[in-house]
Amino acid sequence: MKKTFVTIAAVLLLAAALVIGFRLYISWKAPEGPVPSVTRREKPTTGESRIIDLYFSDADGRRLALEAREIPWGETAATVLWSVQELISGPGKRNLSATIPGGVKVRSVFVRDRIAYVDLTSAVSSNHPGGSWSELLTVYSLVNTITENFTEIDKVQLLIEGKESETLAGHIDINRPLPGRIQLLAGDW
Amino acid sequence: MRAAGRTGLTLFIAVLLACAGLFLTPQDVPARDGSQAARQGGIVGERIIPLKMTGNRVDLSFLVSVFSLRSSLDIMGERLDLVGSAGSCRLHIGSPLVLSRGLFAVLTAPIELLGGRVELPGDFLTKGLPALLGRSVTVSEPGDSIILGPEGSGSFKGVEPEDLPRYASFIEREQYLQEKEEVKRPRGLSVVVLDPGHGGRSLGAKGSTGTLEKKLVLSVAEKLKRMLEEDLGVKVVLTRAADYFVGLKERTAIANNNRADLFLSIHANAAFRKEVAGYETYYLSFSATDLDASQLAQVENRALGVEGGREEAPLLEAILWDMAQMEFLRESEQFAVRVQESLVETMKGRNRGVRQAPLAVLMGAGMPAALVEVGFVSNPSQEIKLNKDSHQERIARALFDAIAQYHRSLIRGEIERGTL
Repeated sequence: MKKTFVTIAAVLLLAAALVIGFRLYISWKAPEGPVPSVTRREKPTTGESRIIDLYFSDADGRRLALEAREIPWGETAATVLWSVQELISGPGKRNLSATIPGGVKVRSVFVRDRIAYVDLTSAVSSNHPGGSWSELLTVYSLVNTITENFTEIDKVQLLIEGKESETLAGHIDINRPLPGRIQLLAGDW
Repeated sequence: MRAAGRTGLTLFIAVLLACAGLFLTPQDVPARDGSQAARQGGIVGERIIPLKMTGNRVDLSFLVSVFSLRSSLDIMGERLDLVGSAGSCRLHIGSPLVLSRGLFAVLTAPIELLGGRVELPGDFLTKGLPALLGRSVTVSEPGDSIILGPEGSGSFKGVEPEDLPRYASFIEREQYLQEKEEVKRPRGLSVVVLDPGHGGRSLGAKGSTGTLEKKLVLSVAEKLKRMLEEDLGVKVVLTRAADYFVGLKERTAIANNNRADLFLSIHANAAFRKEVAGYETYYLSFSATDLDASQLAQVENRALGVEGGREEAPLLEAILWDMAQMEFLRESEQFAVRVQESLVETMKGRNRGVRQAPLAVLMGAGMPAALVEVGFVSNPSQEIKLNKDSHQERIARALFDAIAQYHRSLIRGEIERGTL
């Protein structure tokens, strides 16, 4: 009888300790920052299509340059993802240069408070040729393509493997949501 | 059998309880009065307190509980006031300054607010804590304990506002100094920090025959260091002396903590197409639309009183670490122009211009600062040249000429200051 009482008491104590321990563990482990509210990988499904301006680089790597392309149009995050994939596939015009290194994939796109979060695989860093201006063109070909074609988006936050990063390849600050810079079409910051 | 099972169960429960206890311990220890954790030291009145640091940073909540400090962060999450048994001090989130009784101390890194927790650089313990406790503070060599001197053994060692390095300064500084008529006469360079880009796991640009940016820029920086020390007589500090990784903020911190008069980051270029060649020099860009709310507030030049203790307290506001370069943009531009002109003239290469860009390595630099791209390793013919020692020597000489010219312009008072 006494032993049963001891066992019950011990089990109750154990339960309390586990609950407290677990809650502390949870609060310690709680992730910070935005949690994806929208993630779309599939093709926009409205059946509608629109022509957007893709921001690539000129051949000399001095400025951004436009190429128009028709894409399927639908829900914002899914359409943004589609446009980023168009950028990754590179320019059709001979006199333009790609801005995103080979092997990059889009992990997800989500939109919150007029900011588009574009999550890319780490190939965007590891396969990047390097160079300050090349890196700037990579960043702003993504940012401009999104802010200039989607009126509901003001800024773009780039993420690498789900995390905010100081830079893509060691030069340009991307540690905050970035507004578009259309001056780069003229080669000016 | 039943008894054995019960003993086993009890044992099992005890082990589980011990495991659950493990979760509790780290949270629990600092929450208790620090004196319980403290041991009596060797000298009378001396105390030794176990210290928990992560990456040479210490959590404010740890200090608050151990030393029974009162802390209050203003509603904007910018100003942090700390009160201890012997005094008070004020800190600004994002700034390396500690203010107490009208005097200032500069920490090696800014105070940061991370997910609701305030983190202080490790040297706050020795520089800031004495102001609050009135006791000397030393940190043991492995960094695992704090040694407090007896009561009254220490005090705050601050400097007057006019003696602060410019990067750790405050918005109204120039005006404040003019009012005090203590603006120093222009002088030349005495400390130059050179920053060979990348290093270690950060390879930088790669040439098609295997040239690595991180290697060749280190070689150029070493040559330039020798020239500057021998021919210009200035002290030169490299942000890395071999092939190892250094973070971008750490590079700026090295420049700031050495009180450098000039910062030059040396990189080699790359482009998506291999035909691209030439030379580029950068200085930092700031545009109001890129700033976050607390930075904008600074741009709007909102001045706040920093210290209640002093009667004629000047209206000062600490400059955020990330904004340090703003005050030097005009100087940085003039330096960048000299670098670019000298490089293009000496190397006879294509001039791709002086440009502004949001370069992370320049953001916290509290001195005129530029980044130079000394040629494209992605261009096959430039890559061959960049590998040659004689070519690297010529690049270093061109950079030396630019720095020497900037030095002379400074002495002649030709360099304009300002934020652009």
